[in-house]
Amino acid sequence: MKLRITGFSIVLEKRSLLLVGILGSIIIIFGITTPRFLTYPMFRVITSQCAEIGLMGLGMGLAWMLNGVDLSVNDAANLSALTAALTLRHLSSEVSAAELLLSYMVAMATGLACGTLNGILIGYLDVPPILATLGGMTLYRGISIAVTKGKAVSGLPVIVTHVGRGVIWAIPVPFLIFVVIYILMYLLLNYTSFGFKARMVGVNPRASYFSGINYRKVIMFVYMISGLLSSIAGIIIMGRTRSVAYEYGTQVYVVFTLLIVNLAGISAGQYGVTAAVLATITLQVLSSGFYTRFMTLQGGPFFNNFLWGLFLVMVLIFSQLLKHIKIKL
Amino acid sequence: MFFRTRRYFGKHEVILALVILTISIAIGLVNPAFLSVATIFEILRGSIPLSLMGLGILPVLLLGEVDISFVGIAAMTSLVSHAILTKIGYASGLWGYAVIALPLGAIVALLVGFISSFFRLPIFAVSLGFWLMLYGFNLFFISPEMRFDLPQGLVGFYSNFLVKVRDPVVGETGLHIGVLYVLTAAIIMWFLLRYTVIGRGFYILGGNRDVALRTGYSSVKLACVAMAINGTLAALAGIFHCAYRRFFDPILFRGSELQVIAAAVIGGVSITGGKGSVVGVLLGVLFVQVITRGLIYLGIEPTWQQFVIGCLLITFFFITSPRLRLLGGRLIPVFYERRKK
Repeated sequence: MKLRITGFSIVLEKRSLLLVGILGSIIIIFGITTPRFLTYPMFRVITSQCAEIGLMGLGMGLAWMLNGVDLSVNDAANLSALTAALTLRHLSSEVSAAELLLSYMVAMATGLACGTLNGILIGYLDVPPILATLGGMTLYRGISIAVTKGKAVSGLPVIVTHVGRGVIWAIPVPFLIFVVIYILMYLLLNYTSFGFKARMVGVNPRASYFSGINYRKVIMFVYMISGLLSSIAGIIIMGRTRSVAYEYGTQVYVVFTLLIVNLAGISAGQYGVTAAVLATITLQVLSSGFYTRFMTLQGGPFFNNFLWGLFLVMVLIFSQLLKHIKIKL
Repeated sequence: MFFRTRRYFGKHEVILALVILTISIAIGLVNPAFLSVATIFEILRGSIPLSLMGLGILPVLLLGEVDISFVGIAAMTSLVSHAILTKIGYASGLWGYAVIALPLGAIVALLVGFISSFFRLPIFAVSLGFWLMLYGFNLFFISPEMRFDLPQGLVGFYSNFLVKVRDPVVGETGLHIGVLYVLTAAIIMWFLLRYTVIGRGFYILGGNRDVALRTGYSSVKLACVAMAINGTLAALAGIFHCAYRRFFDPILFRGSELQVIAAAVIGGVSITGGKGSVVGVLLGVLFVQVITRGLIYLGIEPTWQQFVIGCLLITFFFITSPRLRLLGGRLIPVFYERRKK
């Protein structure tokens, strides 16, 4: 994507700016048509819910950038949350902040382990990413089911909800975590040598090999980061629901992350982190906005799935059409 | 004759068939009940919907594309045809459903294929949108609940056997008529892929896109035909599955799209296109079925089954990894580049 500095072209060519425009328009339209939309409670609902899917989306985007997928994001998240929950169970009933952090470390270690397995299969053993992450997904889910005997782990200490439902400076903690991760990812992908190598591997693995990049190691690290992001998403889910269930988000969350990835225009070597974050927020705004609008209608919550699908197809067609329009100012 | 066998033994499908055979025998040694005629019939019956969907996704995969909307199409067409038929008081069998669902499935899938190819979008992205729309449509516009009101003609569909068998473990079972649907679809697909221009076109477009386009193949037409086949077979799988289970589910097959693709890839269909066969797809589905059912016969608890399947898959990938074979099966050198050349 070239950034041409001729007026409107920037908006038309850079997906993140396009999404800013779309998001702005949606907020304005909702603000006018739906009562109580531009209020603090609405802001809080939207921001607190978009973190978990957003983090998984960032992870999936990393895999997508390397011409792969990470179907195991959701199950890795649940497994990581499970390890955290089990750690908490083994500690005293009055859990201190340090012990909570310990459980989070355990969760992140689990996420890294999940990502490492994926990375080894895909990076070093040349297994197709779809199959490798499908196997990983089945394995992680299998471990969760086997350990919990199929039951959800509930009744976790109240202290976990500080992360899931807490608010700092009027902003929900999950969203703050999301923003911090966004900044870190942006710096990682755009200002570090690793990020540069990752992009190069995505564009052309063979050329990157001839350029001296250890593309297998890069692929493995990318999937490890994806696993880490999934574990953080799992921590947030655990904090929000105060429980851990192996089936949380299954069937749908992976598709939602793919939705974010495609909406953000992520492709081989191209990863607009800002676009991914904006896509997440836009989807959440759409979802929450229509939920409040159609709450009175029967089956209202399901309408947003339909809407997301329609929205994706529209944006895809629209962005393709935009490529053929050149505006000279 | 001798050289022919050498070529055959290296083929993916043959290796897979041997693997399935070996695993079946191994399970049969542990639990002899696994190798009974009844079990074979049960496995065949269980693999009907997956086989139909696998055959449907085959042309799309051959093109090098991935589609996940077919599960949504199956759910939507089965539910919509059911809603319409119950409203007009329909009382006969599966034909009524087929008349509505199959063309509807073909049209929706065609729409996906057309939008993708016309706007030069990957089918995957558009199918993603449709996946969401179809399930959202089902849940919001039709019915968020499962429908158990089957017409009179569909009662007893689940025991519609061609050959009946009585078995001490499983009870009365048999070769279900659905196997005929699969066989018909498989034969038609095989003929299409081997002896028609469009069928071979799938292989060419997926194998080498530039050559195909310059030879004169239309990517729009091929995508539309592939998707139409996909939609039709998915719809058939949908109405069959609902008729068999005796209820219509708005979220039918949701989450199973990846399993179908995985079964096809295990069966030798290349995810990048250009390679694959009908036999491969069917064997891939059979492989998944044998393993899933075999675990039950091995007495593994339900809560451990996913874990075992996951471990088996990972081990399978380890063993069949092309790179591991290249390095002569030595594990440590996997992490180092070959210096000598």
